[in-house]
Amino acid sequence: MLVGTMNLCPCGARGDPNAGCSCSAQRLARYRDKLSRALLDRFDLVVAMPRPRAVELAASPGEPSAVVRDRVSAARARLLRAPPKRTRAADELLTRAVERLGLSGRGRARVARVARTIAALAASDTVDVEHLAEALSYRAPDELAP
Amino acid sequence: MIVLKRQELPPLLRAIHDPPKQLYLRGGCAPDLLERPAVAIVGARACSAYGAQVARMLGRELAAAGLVVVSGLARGIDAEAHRGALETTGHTVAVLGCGIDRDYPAAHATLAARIAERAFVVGEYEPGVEPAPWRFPARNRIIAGLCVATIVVEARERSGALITADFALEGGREVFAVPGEVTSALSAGTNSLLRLGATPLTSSGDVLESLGIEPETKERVSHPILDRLPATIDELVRTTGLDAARVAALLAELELDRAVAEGDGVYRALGR
Repeated sequence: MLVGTMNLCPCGARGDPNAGCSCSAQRLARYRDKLSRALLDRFDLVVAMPRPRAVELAASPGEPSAVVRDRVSAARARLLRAPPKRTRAADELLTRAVERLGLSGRGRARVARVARTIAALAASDTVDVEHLAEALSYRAPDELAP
Repeated sequence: MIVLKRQELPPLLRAIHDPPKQLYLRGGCAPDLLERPAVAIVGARACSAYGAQVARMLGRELAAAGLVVVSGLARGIDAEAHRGALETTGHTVAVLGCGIDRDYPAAHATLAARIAERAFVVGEYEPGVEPAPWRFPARNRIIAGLCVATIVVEARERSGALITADFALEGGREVFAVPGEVTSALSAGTNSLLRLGATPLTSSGDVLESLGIEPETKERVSHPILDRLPATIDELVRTTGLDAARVAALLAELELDRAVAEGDGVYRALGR
């Protein structure tokens, strides 16, 4: 498994409404050019994490890890036994996304795979539109992979 | 490459007080494209996600409405405006502050090639002339000169985009400014333009209306979640009570419908 994090900009303030980012356009571009599109294309899930607000930090802890582990194990078993298949509507959405977002072959395969995993985690027999749409929301934003 | 002499310049550009001696054109189109109604979309290079989304949306919608979208091929707002226009079957023109054979900035070489395929990359300098800071204000006078209106999307105080707006005003052309947050330095320039009397731009329809073009009534995507934007996924989860997966799925579908756009983790509603 490969996990990585990066700030949205060199000064670290971009994306935080309470701190002004002072990076110049060249500095931003140099920073983002460090990661090639081909490399980004290999990350299955890309999520922007804005700085948490006080309310979020004060919120009670979420699901315990043990519960998540059970769900993951069940999903893995399901994927081995009977992997969910895309519904016709989900297929159409994927086609539309490939056209509209200009996904590469690798990108399309990745979205399809992530959608299947999401469906398995939801204990669904089919990959529905909702699962596919969620998978689409995890791709790298345009500005990281122009 | 085509070279237009001063007497062959498009009438609007010839009408400014110091029109270029000649205009070099790189592209695959008849030069009378430059005589069609055109609008300039300009702004900051280090723009915010908000500015980038608005520039892309305006470029797309104005080009789709048949206007030629003119900008300066710079990073940030300029490039987004060009890209928006290229998403349509419309036209976009890039004005360079160096020789038109130079790809400046180098990162936009592909963008320049795509623009030249469908319309033009233009400039007043001979091939081979290097980019230099003092040439950019002169480039801006051509951007404003080619256009019936200039739109400033995001600009700091004393930025190049404000120079373009000055040229537009001097030539008696319309100036639009996109309002921004009063606390954002990137909107200080545009908000001060508004204070000075520029027309506030809240949608591409404002521009079309002022030019007497009937805006196409497009089917509006409506969804209650749009009223809660701009927001991050986490904020939407908290305010709607929906789970994160459902919110992400909804937003992805709205994004494909071009009803929302994401930048730096924040989702915004477009075209409202």
